[in-house]
Amino acid sequence: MIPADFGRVGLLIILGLSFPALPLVVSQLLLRAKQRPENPDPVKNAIYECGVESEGTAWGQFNARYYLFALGFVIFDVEVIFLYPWAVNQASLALTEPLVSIAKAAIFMGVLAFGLAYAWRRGALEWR
Amino acid sequence: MADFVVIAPALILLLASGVVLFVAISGPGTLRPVVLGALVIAGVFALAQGAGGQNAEAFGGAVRVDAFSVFFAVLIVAATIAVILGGSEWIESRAQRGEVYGLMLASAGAMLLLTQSNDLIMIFVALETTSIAQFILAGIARDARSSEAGLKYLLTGSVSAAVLLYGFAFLFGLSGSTSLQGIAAYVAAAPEGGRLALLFAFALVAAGFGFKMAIVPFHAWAPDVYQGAPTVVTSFLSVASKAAGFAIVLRVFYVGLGGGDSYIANDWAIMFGVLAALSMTFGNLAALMQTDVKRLLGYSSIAQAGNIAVGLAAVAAGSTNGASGVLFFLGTYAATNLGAFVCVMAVSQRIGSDQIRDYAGLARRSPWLAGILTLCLLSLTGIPPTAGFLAKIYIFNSAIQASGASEFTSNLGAQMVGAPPFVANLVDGVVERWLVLVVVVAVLNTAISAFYYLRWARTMILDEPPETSALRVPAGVQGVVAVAAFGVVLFGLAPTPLITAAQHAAAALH
Repeated sequence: MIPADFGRVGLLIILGLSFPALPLVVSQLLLRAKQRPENPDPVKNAIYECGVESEGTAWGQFNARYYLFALGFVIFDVEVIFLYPWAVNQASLALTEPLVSIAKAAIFMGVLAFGLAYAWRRGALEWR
Repeated sequence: MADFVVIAPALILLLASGVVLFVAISGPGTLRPVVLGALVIAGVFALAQGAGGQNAEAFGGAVRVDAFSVFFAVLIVAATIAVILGGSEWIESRAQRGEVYGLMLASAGAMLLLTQSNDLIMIFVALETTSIAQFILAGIARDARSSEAGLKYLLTGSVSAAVLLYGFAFLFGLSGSTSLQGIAAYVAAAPEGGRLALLFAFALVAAGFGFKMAIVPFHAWAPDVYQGAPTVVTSFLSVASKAAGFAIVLRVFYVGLGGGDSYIANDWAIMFGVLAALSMTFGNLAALMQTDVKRLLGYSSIAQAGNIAVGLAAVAAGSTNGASGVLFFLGTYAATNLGAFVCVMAVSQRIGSDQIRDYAGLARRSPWLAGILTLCLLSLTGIPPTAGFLAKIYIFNSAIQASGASEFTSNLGAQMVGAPPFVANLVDGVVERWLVLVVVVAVLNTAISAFYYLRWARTMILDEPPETSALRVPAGVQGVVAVAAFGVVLFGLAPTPLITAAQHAAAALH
């Protein structure tokens, strides 16, 4: 029973690894078989950053002020993680405990909103 | 809804934390009455739960309120009140006083939840909530020392949380349950195949909790954090946080791993015995060389954690008094250490130094503080008639009892007749009764600790003061140290109520 359970996890790991690895391997094989051209140029070799041109190296130093925004972002991140399953289960929750389930989510969002209000009030959203 | 009534004391503190932060960001306002009010209400509520005498479970058994959790709820709430009253001069002078109060309340509320947790997930959530609040508290003074303390505490805390979680994952993987009862059922079945994995799992869990208790070798953060953090925060860490750490260790190892009855009991008895001996010896030897009072108290708290861990070893070795010994020790330690820390807070606020040499002649500048600090140091050493003496006697006695040494010595007389087997028997007996060796180490360590505790007391009483101006201390602070000193003497002379409460609380774990 336990090997079977871990087997599924193992299968997922193999799938996850092969997803990025497979295109690279296929591309290399096609190159070896002389079935694809190879004409590198600086633009093609550049790091793909959603169309934005990259600046400097990855080892450059980042401004410490970014971390406050990263922390603020966590508020919304956590909100989505927890609200998503809640929303999915609304179909059944709305029948059994319609108001209570809304109230619970409201309390949860209230706590997060207070966190954001606190950060805002203390000037965490100002670029100083 | 009934679930929320069960965890009401913790909820009150967490809600009050939110209220305090809200008031703090909406402008100037008085916070102290709200904070103290919430603590008092939570404490009274916890006492009422205890007086009801019934065990209550909530959230599908993830939380369990029993005499054990009530004992710690009262201890933690009382310690937090003492810290806030004793440290109010410092807190009220800070721009971030709202944050200090709010984080302390959040941390205390999570500690109450931690002592009530009966489920691995609940334990982890509560432990992290209390820890994260403490990481920020340690760094809240924003000077170099305090920031260093906060960062060190955060890094070591994160690593130990990961180790703890790894252990939890093993426990869950083996038993298929996150509830302590489910794990207990697995351990009770005594599966030989799972033995090694189980030992590995609980070693990881002990390492994770060892960080909270600050026992060697998971202590490295303690001296730096104790020295760097504001003294108010240090006192909170050394009393409330440590008590909560021992509480959850007792619950996990007693309920989840079957206490002294389980087939792996001997293994963890040895583990805690070794950790206790290491903590006491390292903590005391390192404390000998300290010149900074907060650092000295940091090492002293490692050594005291070693003393308490002797009780954990005794529990595992099957002592009936081990668990209540740990509880009694924590109760007396709270009074003693709070007394010492509030005195240190009051003194360093005035003389602007944490060096022992600057305490010279304190007895002439403030007889009240010097007297109470000396009393607390005597109690930390374990000198009668203070509470520390009885606590040590109680916990060491439980270890001796668990080792079976008394029957051993009575058998020894009969064996005297034939000499050669006698020596072999003696060696066998000592190896078998290794817990006695731990107690011997503990008693030797008490002698070592007397050196640095009493040296500090001598500096205060005998040395010439650099200046003779009297130190003025507000009535509130004087009251707190007086109550702490009263506790030290009371638990030393009339310990019965506290021992009864400790035994009652420990019995709830069965």
